[in-house]
Parts: sequence; C-alpha cells; structure tokens
Amino acid sequence: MKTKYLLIGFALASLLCACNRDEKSLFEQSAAERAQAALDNANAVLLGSPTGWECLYFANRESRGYNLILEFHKDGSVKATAKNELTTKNQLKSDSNSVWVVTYDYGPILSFNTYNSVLHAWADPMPDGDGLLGDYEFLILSATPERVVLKGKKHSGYTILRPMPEMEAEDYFAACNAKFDSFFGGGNIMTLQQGDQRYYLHDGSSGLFNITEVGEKAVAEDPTLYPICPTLDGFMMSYGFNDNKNERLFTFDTDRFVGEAGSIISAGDLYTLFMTYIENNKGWTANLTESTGEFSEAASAFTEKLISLTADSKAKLGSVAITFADSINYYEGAYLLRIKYDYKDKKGKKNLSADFLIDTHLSDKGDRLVVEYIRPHNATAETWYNEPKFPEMAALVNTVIGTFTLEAIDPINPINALSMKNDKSAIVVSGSTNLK
Amino acid sequence: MRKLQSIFLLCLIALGFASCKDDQFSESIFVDPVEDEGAYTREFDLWLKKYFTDKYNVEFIYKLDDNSTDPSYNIVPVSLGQADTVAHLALYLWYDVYDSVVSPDFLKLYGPKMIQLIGSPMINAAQGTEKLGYAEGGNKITLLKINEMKPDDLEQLNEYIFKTMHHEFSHILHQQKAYPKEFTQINPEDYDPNRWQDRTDREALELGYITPYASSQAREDFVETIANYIVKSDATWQKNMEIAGEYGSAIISLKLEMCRNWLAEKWGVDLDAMHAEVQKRQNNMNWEDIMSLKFLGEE
Repeated sequence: MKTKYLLIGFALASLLCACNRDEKSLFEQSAAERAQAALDNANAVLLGSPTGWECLYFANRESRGYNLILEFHKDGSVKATAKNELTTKNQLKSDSNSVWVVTYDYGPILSFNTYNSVLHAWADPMPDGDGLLGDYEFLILSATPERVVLKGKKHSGYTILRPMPEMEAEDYFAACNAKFDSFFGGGNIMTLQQGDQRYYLHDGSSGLFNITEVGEKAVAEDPTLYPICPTLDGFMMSYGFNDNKNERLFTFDTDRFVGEAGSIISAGDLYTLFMTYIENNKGWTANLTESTGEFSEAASAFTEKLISLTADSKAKLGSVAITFADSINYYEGAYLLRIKYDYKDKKGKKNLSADFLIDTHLSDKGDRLVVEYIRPHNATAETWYNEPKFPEMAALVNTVIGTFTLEAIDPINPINALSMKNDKSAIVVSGSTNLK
Repeated sequence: MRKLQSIFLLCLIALGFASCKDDQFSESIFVDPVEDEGAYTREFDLWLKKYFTDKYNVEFIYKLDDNSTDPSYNIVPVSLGQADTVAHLALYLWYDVYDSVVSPDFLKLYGPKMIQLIGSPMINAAQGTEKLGYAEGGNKITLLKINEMKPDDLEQLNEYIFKTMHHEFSHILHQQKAYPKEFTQINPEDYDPNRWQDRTDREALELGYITPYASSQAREDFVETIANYIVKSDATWQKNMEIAGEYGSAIISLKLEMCRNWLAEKWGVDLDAMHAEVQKRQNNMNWEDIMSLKFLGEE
C-alpha cells in the first residue's frame, strides 16, 4: 500500500516538474548561440587587422612582457615574429608553418595547437619541465578591433593584442627596445600617482615593477611584481595596480605616462629620487663635459696639474661620483665622494680612487640637496688631499660640497641626466648602478 | 497495482515529451577541418583520413587540445613537419609491418583508435624522468617528444619513436588480454616504481630487466621486453645478453619466451617474424620511399 502512494506521488511530482514557464532566461540567446556569437566575433576580430597584431606577450603572472607580431590567416595558419634575447638570441625570427583555432571551452579559447618555433618557445618545458612557463592556449577575455585581452589557460599570464602599426618588424622591435631603455634604463625609479595616492615604481628596466610607498627601497623579499611590456609609445602592464586592475596601457606624453584610467607615472620628486637612488646602493656620476661653472673649471685644472705632476700627457681625471657607502669597508649609512683618475709612471699604469666621506641629505623643507664634507676616507684621499703641490684635489672636492637645487634634464628618466645647481656650478650627473 | 504501475510508466513517458518544445539547437560550433576546403592543413588531414581513419579506423591527432592531456605537465604541440614524418614512419614501421606479418585486419581490429602526437616530453623534474609515450584505456596511444626527433639518427628514432610505438601498442594489447601472471613472479623483488631511473643499463640487465624502465614494474617490464626485442638488432640484443651475464640473461630469455608465447597464443603474432621484418625495414630506411609511401606500392 505504501508503494502505491509513493508511485502516485512520484507520478504527480513528475508532471509538475515539466517546463516551468515562470523561469525567465537572463539572455535573449541560448547558451549555444552566445558561444557561437563569441567565436564568430573572436574570429572576425583576429582576422580583421590587415597589418596583423602587436602581441604584448606575458608568459605568466611573474614574467616581464615581450613583443611579438602575430598575423592570423583565414586558412587557419598563423605567422609569429619576434626578436629578443630570451627566445631568439636577439635575431629576427619568423615562423608561419603552424595553425591557430578559436574554440569553446569555459569561454572562447584561442589555441595555437601545432608547434610554432617563435610562439611555443615560451611554453616548451625543456629542459627542466618548466621552461619559460608560457601558454599557447588562451581564454579570450575580450575581443574588439582595438584590443584583444587574453589570459593563459595554464599559467594565467595576461597577453594583449593591438593592431600592428604599418612598419617593418625589425624597426618595430628596435623602436620598442630603444624606448624601453630610455624610459627605464639605469634603474629609474618612477612615481605613480593614482588618485590621491603616490607610489614608487622600482626596477622598470627588469620589466617588472616593484611597487613601494614613496621614498622606500624596492621590496627585497618575496615582492609582488607587476610585469610590463614596452610599446612604441609607452608600455603595457599585464594587469593594473591596486583597484585599477584593468588599467594596463600607459602612453608617454611630453614628460609623463598617462594611464588609460587616469593614473600618472612621472619622474616624481627629484630630491627624494636622488636620495632613494643612492640608498638603493647606486650612485650619481658627474658628466665632466656637460657640467659647467666652478666644477668644470676645477675638473680641468685637476687634469692639467695631474699631467704636470706625473709627466704623463695622457693622465686624466676619470670620474667624480657620489655613492652610498654600505660595504663593510665603509661606515654604515655614510656616503662617499669618489674621485677616480689615472696616470702612468715608471712603475706602470695607476688607476686611483680617492674616497671622501660626505654626508648627503635634503634640506629641512626637502627642496635642496645638501652635501657636507666629513674627511678623507682612504689612503689615496688622505695623501693627495693634503699634498701641498696638489691643491686641485681639495678644490675639486669643494665644488661638490654645498647646497644644490636639482633639475631634470631627461624629464621622464632623470637617471639619464640630472643637473645639481648652485650659484657656482651646474654639475650634470647620471645614475650609475655599479660604482664599487 | 499493475494499473498503478502502468500510470506511473505513462507519466514517465509523458515527462520525456514534456521538455521545453521551444528550445532549438543552433548549428554545431565545431568545424571539421577536412570539410574546410581552404584550410592550411587540409591536404595533410585528407591524407591522414585516407591512410589512418579510413584504412585502420584510427584518429591521428596532431593538433593539441590541452584538455586531452595531464594538466600537471607543461607540454607543447608537435610541429606540422614532424607530425607528417611520424605519420609516414608509423605506417612504415608499425602499421604495414602488422599488415605484412600478421594480417591486414589486425590493427584495424585491435590497434589503438587514437594516436596522439605531442611535441615535448612530459618531464617529471622531481624524479628526473621524462615520459616518451603512454597508452590509455586500451584504445589511445600518445607519443611524446616528437619535436626532438632527428630523422637521420636511427638510434634516437628507435628510442623516441619506434620503441615507444611498440611499447605502447603492447600496453594496448595487454589491456585487452591480460599477460601471464607467471611473468610477474619471475623476479618481482627488484621492481622499483620510484627509483628505477637511478639504475644504469648495466645494473638493470644484470638484475634481469632489459632496460632500467623495465625494472619499474611488471607491466612495463613485459612491454619493454617485447618492444626492445622488436626494434633492437640481433647484435645489440646479443651484446645486452652478454652484459646481463648468466643470471640476467637467463631471466630476460625466460621473459622473452613468455612474451613470445603470449603473443602467439593470444594474438596470433609471431614475435620473431615481427622482429625480422622491423629489422629489415630499419636497415633499409629510404626517406624518399617512406615519404612517398613506395613501400605501400605507391609512387
């Protein structure tokens, strides 16, 4: 009897659970139709750029971006071109003997499903099972004629395609690399202005921004890195910083980069930059030919006296640099003024460094750079600084001592050229990463 | 009660018809590449259809779908050029060998239904090993590291391709008809699935395993014995027996005899005839003839 009721109940329930007309579809099209529309759109977009695509390829979320050029052909073949130190030994390389397909998985997928020596070099696991940890199957996050955003299926790097400008591949790679070096070379530290917040962007030359609060050193242990890739007129971030996750493209404009969501990246405050740069174990080296005033005159007098004292016509002042003195040979936290010069005597060629301890700090208002003399720091400095026949040493040191204003000569990368000015001299300096 | 059961059945049938009748299916989102007349790979796809799908009822997969592989490995697809070469080699040193030595229907009936090519190996860095191939479910063989194949290096071809083909196909065969239990009892004490890679060739031979990998577990031992016997020359086999010494060679010979009997009894395959035919073909490799399928009587 119990079975009878159960069967009746089940039969009635089964009738009630047929098509429920109260359930409304959120979409006008069926899932299959929407999938087909996404595939059609992706195919049309990828085939729609007559010059191909500038591909800003980020192998994974922790690797810098590299430039590629992709041309998708209607017959299903694809041509990939690259020139970089990592996968093509800096030789221009193209491969067009492979195919691509847009298919559907948990979204539209762009797959390069046969081997292309340019493209798959990033994903080849040889020799350690990982290789460069790149992808060749991508989820298509968005596809418009202006930009295609892809996400690697396995390693989750974001890769961005933009229509390729009409230019030769060789010129494109050269231009991107030249811009990149001029923007980020020398260990430039930039300032990111995001709304009211400001941050420091370190290590751009590595292609991975190490982002800190203003004035702080780059994070050394387990930092979150933000990969970037050069473009012809700026750079693309794989994914944006903080709340601006989709702010990827930064375009250079006069003296700054302008982000597509309004963030500004600039050289920032020169005084903080000057100090932060040397505190990151780097330093500033004077440009002896570009500098003017008493410093320049003292440098010339130094060389002239060196020649007469040593009777070596090729004797010369090599460099004058301000650097951080953090090695065990120096006092922790002090700075060095290092004067390098060379000459030849009977015993052979001499390359000398006269090191002076100095204090370098900002004025109370932070709008002046103050350099104070402490004392000679090595035997060479001690000997030559006090040599009555060679007052040019002390004279040269004294031109670097004083209070200076700073002016950027290269507006976006002052590391390339910065002027330390006072009423006596204009000392042009550039950043140096290895002064030891 | 009978009446009730009938009502219940009727309700269920009605339910089957009651799905939303307005639902419509759109056209398939999948496009058969062979149907696409302008496709870059059409010629190769048609060739594969003719020589593999139509003739042997096997799908030859060279376009990689990452979903069809173990996602824990980083791999890359095979290049079109290498896929083309391996497809011809598979006909020359595998399919046509079985056609000639066993019967033209043998591989159609018992062969894998899918052959998948992958360009890279599957590297297990922790163990220091790399996979060159694997067989699944009695119907699919995957050959790896194809992009590294050098057609003019017979020894490398043997190791990466030919041996792997026969190794994986032997897996397919024993997945359908079990290999003798006695095989597993010959010298099970030295099987080591985790440390086999630490053994040298000599150590494995002296223990009675034809290769270090054969010493990983019984089923690998079984198919390694078959595959190595097929692809290794008589001189190489003999040299290995000498290295193996009295103890090792006696064990390997016993295993080979079991393999020989199992193939003959269960499958009607003459292992020595297979070995002779493969050796003949390996010693007369003519790439022009292989790529033009001259060995099939085509020009």
